[in-house]
Amino acid sequence: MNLIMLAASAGQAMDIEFKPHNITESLVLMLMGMVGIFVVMAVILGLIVILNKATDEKKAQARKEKRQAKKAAKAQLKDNMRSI
Amino acid sequence: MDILEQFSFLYNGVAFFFTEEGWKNLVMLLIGGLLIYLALVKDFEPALLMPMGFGAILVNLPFSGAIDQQNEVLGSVPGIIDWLFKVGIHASEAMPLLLFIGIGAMIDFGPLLSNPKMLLFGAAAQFGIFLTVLVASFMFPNFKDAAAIGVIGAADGPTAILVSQVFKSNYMGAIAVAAYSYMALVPIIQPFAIKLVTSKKERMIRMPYNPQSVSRRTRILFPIFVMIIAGLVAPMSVSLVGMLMFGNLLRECLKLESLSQTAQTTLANLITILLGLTIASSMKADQFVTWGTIIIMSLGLVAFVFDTIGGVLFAKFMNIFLPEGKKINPMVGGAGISAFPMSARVIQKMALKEDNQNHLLMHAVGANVAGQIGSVVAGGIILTVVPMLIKG
Repeated sequence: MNLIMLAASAGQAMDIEFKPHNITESLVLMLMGMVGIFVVMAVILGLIVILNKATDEKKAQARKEKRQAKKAAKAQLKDNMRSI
Repeated sequence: MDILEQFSFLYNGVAFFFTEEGWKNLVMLLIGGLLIYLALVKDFEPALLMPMGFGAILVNLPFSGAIDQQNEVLGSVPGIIDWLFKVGIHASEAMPLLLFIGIGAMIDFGPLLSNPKMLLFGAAAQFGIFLTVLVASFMFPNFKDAAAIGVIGAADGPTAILVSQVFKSNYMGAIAVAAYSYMALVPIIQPFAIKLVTSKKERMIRMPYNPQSVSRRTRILFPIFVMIIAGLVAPMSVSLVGMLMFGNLLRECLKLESLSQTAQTTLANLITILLGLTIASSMKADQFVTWGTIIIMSLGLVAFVFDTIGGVLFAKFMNIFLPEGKKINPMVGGAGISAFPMSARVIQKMALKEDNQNHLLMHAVGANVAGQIGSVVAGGIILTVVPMLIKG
């Protein structure tokens, strides 16, 4: 209590009021702000994971080669069947 | 007529310093000189502090023609610094937003895209903003002022200037000086804050760096999607995030190299020159030489310290759930503030000091870059939520 009175009189000398003017609003802002930032960053994190998976050039190249190999194998099989 | 009165115009300027309010102008001239000294001799953010210091001198010379003056005969005489402020900041916050284009063009999000969990530290390290708003609310009855002061903790000059301007805070000058000064003091503030909440063993945790490869398509789509996501959650952040991501897209598309270079160099330098001088418009003696300024400078330190502590403690919290061998060095959490690249370098230096084989630079860069996104998102959320709370 003495500390509060000391702060108040120091504040008067400085023309500033030391009292909880908007403490509820500040606490609500802290909660909403931190939750909001984490939500946005988590969504962006998910976005990066999806983008990295969807645009992975090495895997895309590997999938392309696999498709080409399958096509070539099918074509070879057809040729073999015809010759039989 | 007395001959001295005839020539009074020669000494009116000096005489002003000895009037009741004139001593404040003298104090501001000294502060301007101090900022120039810190910029040029101590190398504290010279690009901003030197123009701000010079501008502080310009606007605080008695009856300065650099600011708007009222003349008995001539009427209202406009001044260049006040005009720059009205047009460049007051009208639409153009200067800090245009600077963000340049900053976005300079950022390489690669270390973040290859290690995306660093984003969480970019979020945690904004804690100091909200704690500072809470502390400021004890001293500043206007909640918007308290919120503007808290944004010093974004460790991002343009965001701090923009938020204080949108909230029409009378403390913009002090907020800008605090934001840029403490950004320059990161190499002193962060080691102190980190050592308060970590042990030597924690600071020695090694983190192997195994980055994923990042495609060009990801680098191009990332800024577009981030802008959309942030804008949907906090619409007031669209200008901030949008300009930052536009600059980044100029860089990453690889089709507009000359525009990217212009944004990174000419545009950024031009705006930086003008922004520093323009901020001085809010450093007039009657507005700046107040107890409020001293308190704001102290609160700025609180913001930076608790930003760092917030990021570090979050990393320690994550370590509770992570197995041995995959733990995070808590110092990397402290790199989640927006002071890029200084904070990353500070963390790397601290890590090498504890263990000369422990290279944390790329992890710290990822967190640091995430902090750039976190700070603009935080600014946008504050711009959105504070009016809601005041209205509510």
